[in-house]
Amino acid sequence: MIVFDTFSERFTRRFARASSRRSMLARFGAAMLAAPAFPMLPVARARAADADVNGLTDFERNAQTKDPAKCSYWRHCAIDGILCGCCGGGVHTCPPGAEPSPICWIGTCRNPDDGRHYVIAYRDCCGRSACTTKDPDCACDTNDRDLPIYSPFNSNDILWCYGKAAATYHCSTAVLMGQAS
Amino acid sequence: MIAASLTAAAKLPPTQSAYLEGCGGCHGIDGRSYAPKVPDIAGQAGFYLCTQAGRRYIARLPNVDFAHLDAQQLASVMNYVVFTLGGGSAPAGAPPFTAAEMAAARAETIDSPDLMRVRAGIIAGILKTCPAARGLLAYGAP
Repeated sequence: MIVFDTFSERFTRRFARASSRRSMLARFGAAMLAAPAFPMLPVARARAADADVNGLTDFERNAQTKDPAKCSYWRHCAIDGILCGCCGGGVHTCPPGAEPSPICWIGTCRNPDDGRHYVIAYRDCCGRSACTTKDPDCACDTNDRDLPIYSPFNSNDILWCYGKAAATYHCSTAVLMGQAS
Repeated sequence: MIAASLTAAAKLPPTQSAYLEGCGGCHGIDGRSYAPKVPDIAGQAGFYLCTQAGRRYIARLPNVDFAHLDAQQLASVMNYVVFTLGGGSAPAGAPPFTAAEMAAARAETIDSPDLMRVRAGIIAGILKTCPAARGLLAYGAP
């Protein structure tokens, strides 16, 4: 123990002689000045990670406008479910035997052809058991501008088969409402 | 179910766009929810302006105050809801919501655990002044 105490004392004294409080203050001041450049809070980091230097999300960089039966179709930027187009319906129609939920999740997606954002209504089709498909391009989990469920009207994790329609989820549509402003 | 006035690629006015993104999913694209568990707005929302208590009530609703809009945008959406979607249900001469009013409302959001009881009391008061507001009773009816 005495050996350890002696070592500590010598080290501390040597360190104190070799370093100045002024240089410490200078380094601390520089660190404080640079701090705002590095987002420290998890929410700020998560938000920063959502978009690249061009302001595009991962989904938006890979979005396409040709095939609506794929998750990468531009209107599917926040579709947490199975595409109705893979289940006998379409991008805005329910398959036979399923009915559209009276309420829906509404968000905005960017069309890569014109770079503009459009309002999209994700209306679930309900009343039949979940559509099963082996095509991996049909079961989507994209989440642009989706928020946690404590902000329910902005969360696509909620089951939107609610209201008059049966509560059984079958698949999801993505109805184009118009250009967002 | 989609309003005929909404042409697919038409540019939406900012207030209508904000309504759709923040409210229209549940309350309906045209203010009709078609769901008994979600209050209709079309032809009804303006009745809340029949009383000062009703006006304060809708301005202080939790999902109104939590909207991702600034006070001016929120006032515009509220006026779109009560005067446009409300379709003549607002009493003549009712003043529009202002940004200052919505900013103040956000500071006193309704925090009662029994929102339906609060709502019932508000509607009872409205019906004394505006008997035509009976449609408000449809939501929450057993």
